[in-house]
Amino acid sequence: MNRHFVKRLAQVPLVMILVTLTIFIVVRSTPGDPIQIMLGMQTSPDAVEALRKEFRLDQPVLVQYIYWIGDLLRGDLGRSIRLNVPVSQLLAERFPISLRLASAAMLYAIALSIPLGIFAALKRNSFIDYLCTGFTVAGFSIPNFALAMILIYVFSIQLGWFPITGIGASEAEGAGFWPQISPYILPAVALGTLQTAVLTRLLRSSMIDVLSQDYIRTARAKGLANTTTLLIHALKNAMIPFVTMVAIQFGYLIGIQVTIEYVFAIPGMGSAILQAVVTRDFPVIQGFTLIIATFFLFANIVADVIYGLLDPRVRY
Amino acid sequence: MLFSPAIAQAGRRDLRVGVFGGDFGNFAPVVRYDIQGGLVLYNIFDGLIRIDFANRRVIPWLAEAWSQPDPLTWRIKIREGVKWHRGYGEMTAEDVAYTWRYHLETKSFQVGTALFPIDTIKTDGKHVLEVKTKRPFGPFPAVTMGYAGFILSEKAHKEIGAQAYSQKTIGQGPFMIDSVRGNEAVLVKNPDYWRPGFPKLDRIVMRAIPDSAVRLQSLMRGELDFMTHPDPKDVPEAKKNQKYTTLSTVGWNWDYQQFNLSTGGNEPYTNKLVRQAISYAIDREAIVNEIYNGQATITDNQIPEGFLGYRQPLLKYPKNGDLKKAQELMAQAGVKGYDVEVITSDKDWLRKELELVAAMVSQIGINYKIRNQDMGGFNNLWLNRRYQQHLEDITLVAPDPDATSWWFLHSNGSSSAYRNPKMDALLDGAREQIDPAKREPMYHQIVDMTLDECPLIYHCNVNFVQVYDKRLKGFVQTNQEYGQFHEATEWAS
Repeated sequence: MNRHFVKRLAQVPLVMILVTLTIFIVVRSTPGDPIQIMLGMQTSPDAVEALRKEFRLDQPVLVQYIYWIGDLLRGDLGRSIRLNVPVSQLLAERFPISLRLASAAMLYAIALSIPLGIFAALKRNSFIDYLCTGFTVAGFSIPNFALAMILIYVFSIQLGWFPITGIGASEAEGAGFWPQISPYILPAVALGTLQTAVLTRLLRSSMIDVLSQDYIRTARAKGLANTTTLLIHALKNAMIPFVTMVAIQFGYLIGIQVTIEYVFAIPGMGSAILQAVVTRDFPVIQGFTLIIATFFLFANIVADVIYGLLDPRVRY
Repeated sequence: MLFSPAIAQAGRRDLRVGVFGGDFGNFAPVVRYDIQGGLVLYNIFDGLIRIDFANRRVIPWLAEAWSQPDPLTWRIKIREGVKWHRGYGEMTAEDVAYTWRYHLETKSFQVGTALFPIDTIKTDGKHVLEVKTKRPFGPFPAVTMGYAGFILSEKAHKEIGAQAYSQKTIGQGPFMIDSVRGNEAVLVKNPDYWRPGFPKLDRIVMRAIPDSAVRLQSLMRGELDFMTHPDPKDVPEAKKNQKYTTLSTVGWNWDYQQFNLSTGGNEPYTNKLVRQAISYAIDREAIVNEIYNGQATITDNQIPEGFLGYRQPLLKYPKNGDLKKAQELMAQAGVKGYDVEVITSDKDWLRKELELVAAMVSQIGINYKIRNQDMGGFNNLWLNRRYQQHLEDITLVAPDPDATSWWFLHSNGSSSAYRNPKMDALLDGAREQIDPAKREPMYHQIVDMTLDECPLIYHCNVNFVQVYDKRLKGFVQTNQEYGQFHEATEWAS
């Protein structure tokens, strides 16, 4: 196990080199000059050249890459061309918001998918199972921005239960628990519904598989209480792929928030990347994408480790 | 209701404003700012001049007065007693000289935009600045003192550094930056503001909310008090709502088509008769109604209402077009029909507008092959003149006709794809003329030539709209997208 973990960690630098190269090449191949966009049309060629030089964009692409890697190794993610602030400062502002939203979405997904998955497996081919299947199909099919608009209409406009915006607002600070939590509820539901569907389906099939195993039959034959059989013996084993999937999906959630951030005006990483792409703010695109890729990479490693820890049959 | 953001209005001294965009960009006047950043900057800086929108003229502001001893010299008297935020002392002519020299030395965006005519800058005492231009420059008050009129505090800029100034911006306007984080900028009252009794509010929270529908819904729910840029289709409904004031006024901008005439090619649109035919084929009223739901003003020329040289549109092309005339012009040009690629940016309304225009010109046999680009890609093609034709909108940065014409029509204009020595001579002549009475007919000539040559075809000026709580008073709407001043805004008692 330890050897496998060390091996996975050893692969990280290689993966990161590939990630940085891919990000760099993709970003630089996109048509559009960040300096021209920044300075606009009524400017002088001198001004364009001066700013290009300041951001080393006058250098050959390979040299720019080497500079970027050198800066990265020193912990410097560069400076935003449009905002004129260090990328690390932007990251410090926006990453915690994205992390909180991803955590809220994942909590919602876990809280809903466990009972749904269990009930659907226990009442297989019943009305409840069909209801759960309908919910998961809807969860897979409805785009999260469309769900977001429906949620806003019903819960904010019609019922007035939750605010539409407010994540990251200074107004909420020190205003108590509810004003700080309530802006996260609708975005978390809109963001986490797909993950709820994924996890529900996974847990259902995993439970069905486990419930048909001999040791469950033996436990029941020995006269163990149904609840004990289900929760201690069946669910524990059925949860192994579930927990692994949670880790993977959590990494994924960090990177897919852009539409939800747009609809709910959330100042997270997705909206910063979107803005950076539109204005070709290379340092921000590169820095933020790198962080998301790193987060996803480590989420996968964590999933591997958890899988090994939970399932004694798994030996690397 | 589990969450009730609505707060009692009586005695309130704060304002929550929703603007478009994902963030505010930077707040340093030496770095080019976004429109939503400008909405903040106009409240933390007072400019050297201001526009009197009601009477359509440039008025003294921090530049208390100016004179011209000779055509190349401008003497500017800086207002006394104006204090910088956070104890950085009094604003002086040295600050103005420092700011403009800083622009020139760092070759900032203002070198090309507003400060290009400057030859030398010197101060004469604490409150007088003397600027010499390389050539006579008529638009000096509006363009140079207007667009480059946000001045830095020399002391603060040197002390905290250029980069930090983008975030901890020290101005001298009615509000000071308290914090900027993510999509929120919090402004607080400047206790040392030079105008007694202003500002009326203690605090403004500005939040960038990209989706216009969400912005409006947030206003209706009481999460905001004031919003800008509602979707035009929502404006009639907002106007009917008794709880809100909805203001809509013609903006200093245009929606327009531009032809790339700089390549020397022989595409059909290089023939001015074809371009005129296109302009005649356009039903401008349909664009205003279909795309902007009436929240725009039809025009066929570059000079919007309020600018020197403005004449009531339409000057040549009828509001519903003239298909027969367009067909005659095509026949006269000997062109039966052709395909042309037309690019536009990713703005939803421009894509729809281009589709509508494509349907209009198809009636004279021209097939617009539409290519949508994101803003970065569009700018790349546009500014490098790698397009045949495009449709875009633009906000005019300075209230002078020079800003509407020179950059787009002069051979050396960075946005121009048109080469005509006669037009160049007219534009340079109008720029060098100081006397407004003599400048005005020169711009009439420029407009007439533009209408005849059609290197650009103008569709409309889009309105700027604000919707806000009816209990707010004192807000004065302007025609400038950035220029939304809140120093007089207050809650009715």
